[in-house]
Amino acid sequence: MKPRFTKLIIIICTAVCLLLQTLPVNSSAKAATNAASDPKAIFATANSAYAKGHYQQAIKLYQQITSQGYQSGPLYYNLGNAYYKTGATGQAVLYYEKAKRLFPGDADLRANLAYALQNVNEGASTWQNRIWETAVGSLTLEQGWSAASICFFILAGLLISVILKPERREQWKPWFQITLSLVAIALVIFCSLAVCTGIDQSRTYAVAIKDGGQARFEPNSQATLYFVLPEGARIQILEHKSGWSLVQRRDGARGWVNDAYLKNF
Amino acid sequence: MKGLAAKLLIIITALLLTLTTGAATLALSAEIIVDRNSLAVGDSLQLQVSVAGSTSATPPRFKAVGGLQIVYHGPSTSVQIINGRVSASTTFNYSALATQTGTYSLGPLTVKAGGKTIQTNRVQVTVTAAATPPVPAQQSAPAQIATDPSDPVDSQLKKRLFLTMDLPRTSFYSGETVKTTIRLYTGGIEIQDVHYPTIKAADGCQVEIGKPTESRRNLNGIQFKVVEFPTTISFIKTGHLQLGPATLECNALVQRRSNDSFFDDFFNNYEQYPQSLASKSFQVTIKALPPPPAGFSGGIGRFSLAATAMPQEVLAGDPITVQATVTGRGNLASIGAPTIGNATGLKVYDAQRKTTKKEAGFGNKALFEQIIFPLKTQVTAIGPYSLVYFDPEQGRYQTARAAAIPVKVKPNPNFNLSVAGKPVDSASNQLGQGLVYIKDTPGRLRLKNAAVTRQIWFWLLQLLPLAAIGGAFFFRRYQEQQNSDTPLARALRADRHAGKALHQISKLLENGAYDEYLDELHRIFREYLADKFHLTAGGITGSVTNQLAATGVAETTLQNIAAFFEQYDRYRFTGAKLSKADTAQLTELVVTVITANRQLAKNGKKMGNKSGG
Repeated sequence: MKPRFTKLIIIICTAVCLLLQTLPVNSSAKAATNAASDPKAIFATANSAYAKGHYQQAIKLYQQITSQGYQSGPLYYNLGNAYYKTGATGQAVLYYEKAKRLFPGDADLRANLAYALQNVNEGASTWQNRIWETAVGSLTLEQGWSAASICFFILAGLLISVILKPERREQWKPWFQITLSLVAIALVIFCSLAVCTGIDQSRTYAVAIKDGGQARFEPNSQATLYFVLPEGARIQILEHKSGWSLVQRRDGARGWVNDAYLKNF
Repeated sequence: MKGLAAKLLIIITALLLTLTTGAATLALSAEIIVDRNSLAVGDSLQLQVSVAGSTSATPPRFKAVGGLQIVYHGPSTSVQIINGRVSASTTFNYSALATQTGTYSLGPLTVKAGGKTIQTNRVQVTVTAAATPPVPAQQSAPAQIATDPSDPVDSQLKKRLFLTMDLPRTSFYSGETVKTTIRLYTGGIEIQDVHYPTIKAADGCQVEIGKPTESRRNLNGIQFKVVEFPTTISFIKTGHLQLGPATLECNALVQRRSNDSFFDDFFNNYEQYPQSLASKSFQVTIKALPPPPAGFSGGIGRFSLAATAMPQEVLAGDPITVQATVTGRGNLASIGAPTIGNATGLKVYDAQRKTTKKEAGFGNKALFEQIIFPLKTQVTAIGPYSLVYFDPEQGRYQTARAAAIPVKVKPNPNFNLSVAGKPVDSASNQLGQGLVYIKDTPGRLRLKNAAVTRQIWFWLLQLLPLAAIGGAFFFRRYQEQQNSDTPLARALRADRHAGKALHQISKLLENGAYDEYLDELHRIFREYLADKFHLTAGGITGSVTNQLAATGVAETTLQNIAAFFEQYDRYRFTGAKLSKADTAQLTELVVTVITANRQLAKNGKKMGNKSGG
């Protein structure tokens, strides 16, 4: 009975993992087949243009892929690089941030984002913000929920084994309790991270794509000036009113900025 | 409680002291502002004394000036907060009515504000003779229209209702903007349905007419009500053109007189006379500007420049707002911003116009705001500012200047001077040299909505472990129930046990061990009956049918049970020889009983379900 039951659990877990891995791939492959032009070929052409220093052409080609509805971390990362090479720091930061949502753990991306922001005075971040950014920047939403899902399946398997074979609980005690606790903790952590990332992604963030965006106390150009957004500064959009956005800087300072200076991501 | 109140009092006092000290340290200045520097006798101008840095100034008094009657209308105050710093100002409003020709000097005045005494500037105002409208010389005191039958109504209307327009010169430059006024004079005549005036102009100029104001003027002994329409005319093409006349449509109301003055007074019998008024027209020449110098602001006219900065004491990296005010006559609506002379150590953003083009067109100033970040503590001043413009009266380019504004920049430990102060241009050659190179492959390219978490199947899949846990739980409970010693559990497993046991003893028949088979069959049947009817297996004999009859077992089954025990006793205790056919018959009896009970249980369950349903 024991080997048969263990085999069943292994089969179920393997099937779930395979399902998680294969279904998105299938959908992307299908989409790729339907696309009028091959995005991978366009990507390669764009990379060649970049290598030759034709950054505007590279941007145009990368944008062609995004206009087909595709996205990927490396695509946004390369777009960020190309924009930075043309001097458009704001656009570069915008695409690095988009890339961060798709592959947050990439060291190159982190390095380039930090490089692009070195001349941008965004205001000192609060410690609460730093903790939050670390939490939501560690995993993508998809990774978080997938990991939580796998933990859930494992935990369910362990619970089923306890239910069906209670007489073996004592026998399994040493490793069973440790495994059960670790999987339960992992489930809670992954669920929390996924929820935090989901909350964060439901918020509206923007990047100042032009220099000199003036944040004022009221949404009109005559209102008193509070601070000025440098190009590339990342801010959160709290409210929108007739062409003006109420933005919050990383240090918590809030002001109304004309929409012409901002681009959401 | 007493201690708490004392602490609160100390805190409030400290706050008040801080605020008072802050207010006292604001830079105090006072200025006399007039809306124009020349006016005609009978006209009035707006006069203001603006005190910056205080909201508690006392209104200054103008000394009596012979040709101007100055009337005080009251103060207005404003408080602004820029980058957390408070700025305050008080404006005292006056009006001055010109009564005699001449040049008059207003100020300097002494103003008391914030416990200090400050001096204002001096302003020159020139009063010229009243404009001579085309009023006939023989015009007399307010006439009774239509009272003189010898003077027709049209003739009298022309004397008392007319339109004028002036031009300072007849030669202008392309791009020049001229301010003029269209005046509607009405002397003792009621008018209604007054249309906005229009100016007949060629393609080479643009005309804008502003909101009218009303005043009174005495011309040759007749009191006129004057409606003034401020007008700006911009010349945009070179050449000769005709400007005007200005025209205006309205209806004059003239009282009809009959022979009975009683009824005239009682009924107010007025008659409408549609009037189409026109001023004189002008032949003007528009010339091209000479080649402009570098930094030309596009301004054509005569301007002066003033600049202020707030705050004047900042930390390095904090913004300073510079307000540059261009005043004077000319194309203020389209003039460019003044330029800063020295930007060393500063990060300078483009100046932004704060007065709308329309405001500037009819006003006499254009206000620009510029954000400047001092990057070094060595910065001691911002400016000077300059504005290059063309003076059409002198026919050459001029430069208006505003002196540098002193500022104090304190060190800022949170400001990274080397990074923020790094000019972008200097790094443009090596732009992006520190970037990590691009990725060779696009990774997992996929459509934006193809994420797993956006698929419904992913969330439905999460129900699978829950269903499995539920299933395992119920299965376990079923197992436990089956293994318990309750009458129901025993009855449920009786059939299964009996079936298995009968199958196992079938080998005894194949080996010809009929006696052993009989003993085993007897044991199995007793155990079956014990489990099925919750009895003790050891004591079961043929008399068990008496007990079972009370439990509702079918009569046939009871007979079969009794028959089995009778035959068993016969073979066991009489020494009768047992054949294979006998064992088959006995087995048949057992199977018949088990089958009948199973059928009975099924029927009973069905009945139970029906009655329960």
